[in-house]
Amino acid sequence: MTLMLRFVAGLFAAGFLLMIFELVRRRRLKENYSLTWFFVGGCVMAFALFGDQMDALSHFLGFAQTSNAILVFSVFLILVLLLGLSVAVSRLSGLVQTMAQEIGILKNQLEEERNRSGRLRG
Amino acid sequence: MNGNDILVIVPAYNEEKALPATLDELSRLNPQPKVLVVNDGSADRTSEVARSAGVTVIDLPANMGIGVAMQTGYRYAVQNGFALSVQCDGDGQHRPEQIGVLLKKMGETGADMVIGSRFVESGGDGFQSFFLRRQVIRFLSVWIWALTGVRVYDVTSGFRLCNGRATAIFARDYPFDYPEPEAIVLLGRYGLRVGETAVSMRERQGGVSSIGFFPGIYYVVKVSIGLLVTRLRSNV
Repeated sequence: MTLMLRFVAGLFAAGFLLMIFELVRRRRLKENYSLTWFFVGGCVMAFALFGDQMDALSHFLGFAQTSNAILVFSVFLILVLLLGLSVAVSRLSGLVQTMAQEIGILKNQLEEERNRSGRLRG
Repeated sequence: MNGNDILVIVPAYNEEKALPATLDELSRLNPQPKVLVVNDGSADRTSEVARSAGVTVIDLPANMGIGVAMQTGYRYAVQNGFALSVQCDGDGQHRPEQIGVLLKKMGETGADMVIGSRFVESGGDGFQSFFLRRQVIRFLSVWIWALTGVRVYDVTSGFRLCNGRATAIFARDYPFDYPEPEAIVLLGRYGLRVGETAVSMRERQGGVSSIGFFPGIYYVVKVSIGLLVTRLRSNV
């Protein structure tokens, strides 16, 4: 990798990590989700810092170009991240379903309590 | 059987037209069961119509799907100590007076869930689609049998009676994608017994069947996979 490329990647990684840090600090991103994203930022930073080793590794794995290797790794990483999001969404929709059911039952209970006390007064 | 022990769950989504007739028929039953309408976030006057009929109504805050609505009913049944629960759709297909047929079958066989089955279906939407739908149901029936050893013919019928064990399981674990066939597989997985008895049904009073021709093939594939997944899940 050229020095220019490593510089750009390092700058991007630093900005990315700073952004995640800020999102967590302002409570717009939960810590447990931030860990994955710190890992992603860390990977990009590693590419930048250890460019020569990346060249060697991608050559060892049979890639003609280091950029191809990075692209393939990125796609895999994104797939895993997307899957993780689907898992999170599934968990949330399960929670929403349970909440909706309990809200419905509670509203009904409240209504019946009110009717009962209304009758007692009337 | 005391009517106080039975909860009839009526899941309803935009059923203001068909619901009054169903609720009226339910109110004529003797012994009188408790009737619970679960209004699944209807946009029409389903909730008001049910309330004016004097039955208990649970309004879900949004349209969550029939699986979530039914499970709400099962949760209510468990929380309020009902021994038996019946699913009776609000669209007029199911005949409340036939709940007795389900009870009789449960009494005879000791099954944990009894499905009211329309072995004879009245047409009305053309021979072609009628024939195809029967093939779809037949295939799913064999598939469920292969997965669980439970043999039910009318796997998509939503007219069913559950005893306390089945109700308790459904209250904590109920399928949401294709609840009718999947619920059979689910009970099979828990080792409960599922029975079936013939009942007569009416044409639905409103709405259309979700099974067409090409959507039919798509439906079969999706449901088959869903059933397999349901079979492979762990109990909770």
